[in-house]
Amino acid sequence: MIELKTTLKNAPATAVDLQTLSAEQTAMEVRDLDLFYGSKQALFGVSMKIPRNQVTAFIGPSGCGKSTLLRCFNRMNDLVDSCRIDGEILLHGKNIHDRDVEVAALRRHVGMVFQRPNPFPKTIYENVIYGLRLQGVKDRRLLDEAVEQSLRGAALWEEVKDRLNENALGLSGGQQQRLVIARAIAIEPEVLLLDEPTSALDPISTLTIEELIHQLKEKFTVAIVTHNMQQAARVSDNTAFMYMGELVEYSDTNTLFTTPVKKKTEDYITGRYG
Amino acid sequence: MNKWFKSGSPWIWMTGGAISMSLVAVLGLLLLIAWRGLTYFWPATVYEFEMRRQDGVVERVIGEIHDRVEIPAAQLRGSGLKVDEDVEFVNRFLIKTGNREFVNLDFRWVLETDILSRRVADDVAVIERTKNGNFYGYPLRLLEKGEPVSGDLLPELQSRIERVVELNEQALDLQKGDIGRINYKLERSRLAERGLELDGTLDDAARSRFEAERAQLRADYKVLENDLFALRDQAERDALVVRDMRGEEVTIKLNYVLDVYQPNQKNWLQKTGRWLVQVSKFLTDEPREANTEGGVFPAIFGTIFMVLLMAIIVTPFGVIAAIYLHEYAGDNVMTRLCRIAVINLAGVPSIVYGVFGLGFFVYMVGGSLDALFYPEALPSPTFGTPGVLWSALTLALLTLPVVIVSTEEGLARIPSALRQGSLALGATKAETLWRIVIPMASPAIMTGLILAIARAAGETAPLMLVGVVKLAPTLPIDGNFPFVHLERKFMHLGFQIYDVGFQSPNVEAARPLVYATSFLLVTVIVTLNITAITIRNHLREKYRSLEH
Repeated sequence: MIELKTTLKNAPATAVDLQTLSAEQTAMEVRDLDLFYGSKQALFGVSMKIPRNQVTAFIGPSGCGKSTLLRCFNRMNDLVDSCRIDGEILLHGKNIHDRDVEVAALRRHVGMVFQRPNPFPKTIYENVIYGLRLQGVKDRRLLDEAVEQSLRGAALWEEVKDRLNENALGLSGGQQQRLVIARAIAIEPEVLLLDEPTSALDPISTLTIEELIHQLKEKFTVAIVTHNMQQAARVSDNTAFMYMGELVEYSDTNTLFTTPVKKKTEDYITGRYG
Repeated sequence: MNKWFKSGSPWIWMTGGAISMSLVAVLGLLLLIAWRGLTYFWPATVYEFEMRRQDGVVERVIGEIHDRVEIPAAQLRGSGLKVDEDVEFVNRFLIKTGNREFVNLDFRWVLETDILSRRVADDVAVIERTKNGNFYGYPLRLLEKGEPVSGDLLPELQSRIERVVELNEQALDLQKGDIGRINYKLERSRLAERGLELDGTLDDAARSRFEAERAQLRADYKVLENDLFALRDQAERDALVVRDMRGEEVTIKLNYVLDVYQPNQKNWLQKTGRWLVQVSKFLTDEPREANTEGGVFPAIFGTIFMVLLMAIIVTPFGVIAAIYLHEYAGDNVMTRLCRIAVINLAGVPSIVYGVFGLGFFVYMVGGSLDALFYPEALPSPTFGTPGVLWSALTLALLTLPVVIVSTEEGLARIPSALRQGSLALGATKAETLWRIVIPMASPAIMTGLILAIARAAGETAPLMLVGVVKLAPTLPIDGNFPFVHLERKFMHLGFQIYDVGFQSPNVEAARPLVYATSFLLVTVIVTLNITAITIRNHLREKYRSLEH
């Protein structure tokens, strides 16, 4: 608890009222979201607003549905055959599950970084421009520019600028994860989803990525799932605590970690379970 | 003892023993066919034998010792032959005497006990001919237009043979090249006219145009034919007089002679050179005398061409089928049935594929193609007859299961994290497949292709129904438009082995050829496989680090 409070001192004091967020301030909005895997319900009536250009963290014990919720934001759950969704998720006021929404286009607006680094077995350069190539960008100058910008944005440029044409699989785990982030921001999404991005990394790499997240929110809205409460406290502006598929408490990080309203939240952040 | 069993040693010995037995078996097989096949080209020593026939007459025989077997004397006595009482086993030699036109058999079995004397005949020459096989005898003198030629016999002989070989080659080139082209054009012209006739658009102008075209071609043909006859006349100029084993003088026209050499006067270095020449002739020449002499080049070419054609057909087909099965079809009863059916296809005997290929590809597809596109050639079929395309298609069908199964395995091994990574960047499923999944599955696809090639290259039975022949006059690729003739029949090493070994009029002469051809077939398959494996390893290296 003490440690958490010291961590919080560094957290920015940009608290906004999450309930009365205006449309301009909202990046994505969830309304009464229920999610089923077959007959088993995994999310129960989740409603929340993700504020623009802030970092929102999702915490909770394993199996609480935080990753499932995150994967709803770019419809990664479509890949699961038995998955069924009720409720709405709005991006620009439009439900992303509407029939006329193209999944690929949605994912260009809502990018995602996974738990384990998953660079493609291509060169570093090709990895970064993968999304741009998909969009049909061929201009070498534009591509070069995008590579430098994205790698700088992911704090990787200095380390790899001399070996852009080497295989990305030769990078270290932390570098690979930053490369994956560079790959995601190269297509300039509005929202960046990070699904436990540091859980497979060593402490030094974790620190680098956490610093990176601070910079990322200037350009992107970031939603991060983490099982590490210190990390949530360090990097996020707002934190959502989930338990058993329900959103228990959602407020600015300072409030949630210092004066939680719900008993369950307090129990969790003081380490009584989870 | 019990402890020894528990230690696991017997298990290790057993497994090790199994693998060594397999190795010994494979090496033994390769060594046997390699040895028997390759020694065939070594210039053997030629002996002169004096021997007493069973009827008491003494005769002289010149020839190479081809084989030797030990026979129990009792067996010989049983069949009424006179053998000394104290011997238990008698050697029996197979002697290759050549001179097929003067003796009944150019191979004969001789009992060692009947041989009175045996000596290495220093001056004897082996004369390789385009007809009637080898001739063994002592060269006496050269004739030019029937008149004796003065000068040193052997150097003179060599230079005159070179001249004849040169002339024969020119004649063959003329025959196959220019004359072949004119024949091809004549046939095309006839077909074009017939095509117009079938359309009902053949008027007098067109008819006379075709006539003129063909008259021109026939005139060209006459000229070339005269050239050809002139070349042949020149080649017929010289002859060689030889004394054979009966002691008679025989005149051999040089235009039938390919080579004359005296094996008993050569050291091992010269023999090695000769061996290399013979091997390269075997690889590059066309077969002669019902495939029992000459080379197997058309068969090598046919085998490789057909296998490559098959690979080109089966790869996209199998890969696409596997992609549908693995990526798009849901996991339900139908797909499971499909998968079982595909796997079971691999177990169908190959001859059944041959029957299917004949019925479906040759008669149905080929027949329809003929009716649609080549009506002018009917009733003689163009595609409605066995050919290299149908062979390749039949074998593609035969090898489809291995390609599908190994491609599916490859697709299953791609980590889902990579697919999701691609999808999360806004790629559609198809884009993910093209850019990430299929390139990464390419080593597995190559593995399937390797297995397919290994199986297809050695397959013979179905080919006998859908395209292989004993002797194909032309290769599937030549200089006549459209250069690649997929409707043509072709020769194949596997069928060559069967044909030489079982359909040959001269079994003894053919046996070493069977070994040599078998060794060659194995070599071709191994080469094809090594090429494919090299490509696969290269691809694997490229995607190596994903196996973490």
